[in-house]
Amino acid sequence: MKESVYEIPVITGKSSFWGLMFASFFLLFFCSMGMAYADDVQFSVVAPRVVSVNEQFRVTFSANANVGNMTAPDFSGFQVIAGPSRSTSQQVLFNNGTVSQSQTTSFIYVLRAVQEGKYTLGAASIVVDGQTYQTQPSTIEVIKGEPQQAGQQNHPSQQGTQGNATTVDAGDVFVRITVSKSSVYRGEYLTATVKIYSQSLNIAGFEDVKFPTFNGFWSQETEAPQQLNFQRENVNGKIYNSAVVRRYVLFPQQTGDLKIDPFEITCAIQVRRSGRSMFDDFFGASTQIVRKHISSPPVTVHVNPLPTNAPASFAGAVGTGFKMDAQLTRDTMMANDAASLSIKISGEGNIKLVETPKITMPPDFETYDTRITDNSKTSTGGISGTKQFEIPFIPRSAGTFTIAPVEFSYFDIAKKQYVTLASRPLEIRVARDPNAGSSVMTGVNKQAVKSLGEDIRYIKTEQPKWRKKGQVFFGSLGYYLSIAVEWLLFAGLYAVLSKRRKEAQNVVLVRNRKANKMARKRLNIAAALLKAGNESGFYEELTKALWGYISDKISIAIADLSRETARETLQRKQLPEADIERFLQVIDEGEFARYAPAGGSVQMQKIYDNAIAAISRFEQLLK
Amino acid sequence: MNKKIHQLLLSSLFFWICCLFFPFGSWGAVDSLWSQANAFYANGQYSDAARLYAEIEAMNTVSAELYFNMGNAYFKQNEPARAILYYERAQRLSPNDAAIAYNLEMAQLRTLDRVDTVPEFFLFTWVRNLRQWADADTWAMLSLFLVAGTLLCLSGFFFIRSVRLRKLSFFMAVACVLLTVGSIVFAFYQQREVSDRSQAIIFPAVVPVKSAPGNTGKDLFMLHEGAKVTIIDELSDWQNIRLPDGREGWIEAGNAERI
Repeated sequence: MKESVYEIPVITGKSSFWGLMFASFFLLFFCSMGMAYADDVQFSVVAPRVVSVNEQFRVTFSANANVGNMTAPDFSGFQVIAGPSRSTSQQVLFNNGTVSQSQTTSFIYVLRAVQEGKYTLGAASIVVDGQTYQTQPSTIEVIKGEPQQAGQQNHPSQQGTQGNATTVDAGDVFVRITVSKSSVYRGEYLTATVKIYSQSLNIAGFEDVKFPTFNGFWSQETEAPQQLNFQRENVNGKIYNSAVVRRYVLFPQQTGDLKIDPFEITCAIQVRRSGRSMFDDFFGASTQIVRKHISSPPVTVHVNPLPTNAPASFAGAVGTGFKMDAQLTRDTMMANDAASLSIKISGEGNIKLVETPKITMPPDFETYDTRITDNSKTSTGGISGTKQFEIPFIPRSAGTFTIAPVEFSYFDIAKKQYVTLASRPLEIRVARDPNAGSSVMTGVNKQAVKSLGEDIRYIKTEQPKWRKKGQVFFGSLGYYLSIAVEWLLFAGLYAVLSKRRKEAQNVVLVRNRKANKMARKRLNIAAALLKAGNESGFYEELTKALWGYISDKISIAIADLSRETARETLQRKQLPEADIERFLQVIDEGEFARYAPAGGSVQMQKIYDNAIAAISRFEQLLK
Repeated sequence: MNKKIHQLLLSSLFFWICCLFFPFGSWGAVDSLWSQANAFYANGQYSDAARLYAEIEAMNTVSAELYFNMGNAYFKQNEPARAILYYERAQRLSPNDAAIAYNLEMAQLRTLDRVDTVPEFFLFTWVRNLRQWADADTWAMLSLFLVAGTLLCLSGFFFIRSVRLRKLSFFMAVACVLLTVGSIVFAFYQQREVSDRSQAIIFPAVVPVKSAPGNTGKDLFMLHEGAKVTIIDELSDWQNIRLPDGREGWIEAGNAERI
């Protein structure tokens, strides 16, 4: 029963199980009078995809309902050999006290292909509860083949390996990896299907199965059937029974020509021993198991690099129809409360590999680890679904903040260009934390000013002091000139100052010279006053003469002159102490007598003589 | 009379300062280019800004600010080597500028080569740091002021009658002379460093350094974009370079641009 794999085993012949069916009907009536039939009626057709000319084959229409009759499609191009034969089967399941039942009605036709070509079986239709259901049209390809091999399964003697039974024809069994696309972009999905092909369906088992590792791809299995489901397929004009062993969705991670490792398998094949007699056949000892190691031919996928003008937010997402939605769980909150930003990305492509989009939160927000929920489904058509990123955060200060638009870029396979999706800017209003004051009181928690990024200092915008290239002041003519000018100025200053000093020295000299003369003049006046007996006038003139003399001699202004300054200056001039004392004593006596005149003319004469003596003495000393 | 002399002194000093700081000639065209370039930079049009800055430089008009801004413009265009070159040039004109030093360091962070300098005797470092406090012209100006100070102190020494003040002015004159000599020496060395064209920046991404001029030489080491070298010799199309750590080798001319 080689075809049993694609036939539903519960189907039973109409004639042989009539009694059972009858019983089932009764059971049905007793158990569940008003029980509705399975709510969706499914109506499908099973027909081989490839047949060869003159081959007889079966087409089965089956529905999971009790169907009286069916409107058959047009079988033009084929010869109806038998049918329709209707068969029904029913199943009642008691499972934990619940009763479920299913019923199947099949209509079976046996057809024969007449001519090569492609024929379409139109839709068959049934009516269940007043509703019409139709099958999908199916295509049957009729080729010129070896009808016996595929069509007459019950005659394996047609194997054609009469001479040496242990050799197995290489074309008989083979495996193959087919890829949906041979040239893709990096990150674009493709499917790889591992199929086994056999002409005679005499595979007894498999050993040492080695699946490809898909180096350079990120792979995911989408189909790994427990049981091989053989279907007919036309391979180079021959009918093969093929079955999918594995199906993968692949995402290339590298560029260049990526080679997919071969799929390797060791098949145990039942081979007929060359018949010695018809009895061998009869006792079933005529077959023998032959092990054959087969591997698939190499498959190369050319992976093109993505265009270089990738936007900054591109992180490897490739596919079609991506959508992004960014939302805040709430947009009004209090400081130190938690909220989260949720970004939902959906689409078709390598959605599993989509990374968290870059988000710039306001600096005073504390963000925590992103929670990622992946709701993607892997199917033959790639991976589609939704990936959700939830970023919890806590604002630490009050204010109105704007989270910059979240950007997500992907490479659109259909448009062959980058597409950038951006959310709108998200605004969040944070009110002051009412409990903030108390917590601040308990411990002052100052924080350092955080560096958020590094950049060079900004350009200088003030008006610069331009200079000619290579122009330097040091060592230039201007520099030396400046130094020269400075020295010239110094020389001028020196000349002027020294001249003035000389002149000043001359003044002293003149005064020195004049001192004697002036003193004599005053003393003469004093002498006249002495004769006249004007006592106060005499003393006044005498002290003036003495003060004036000493002032001129030591060139100190009279206003600055006192007994002490005079003594000091004279001492510095290294005059004998006795002479200085005598001179000052004369002045003292004169001034004393001036305010308290007593002693008359004798006293006056004495002081006058003393003054003359003192001046004469100084005149000798202070040359 | 004394007042007149003071006036004369002051006015001539003022004249010289004017000559130095406001050189003759109008800078109108340069100034408008300058503000245009700055506007481009502010708008983020770095290549346009760099073009205008280069135009100013082509007019033989330079300043530390110009080189600094050029460095910034190239840095923003992701050309660290060129940025380093211009920051170095800016630093020569204004050795004590914190912003230039900072940006130079930022640009150097982008380069690949880490070359260890041979450690120096600390006194040399101190003296050099002191010298780097100002550029040659500032030292020259300072020396002029110090000469003036020396001469004033000398005048004081000659003409002040008070013995104590005369003593003071004498010592001040001696100090001024020493400082003058110091500043002139510093100005000289600064000047020599600025006009020194032996230092250069490597421009290509990778340059092989060979043991001999010509392609027969053995590869000694590789230098990357932005490395600073000293060119010590030149032989036809090859330059003998030295690294700060003392290693030497030959590179093809045209790979390094002199600062």
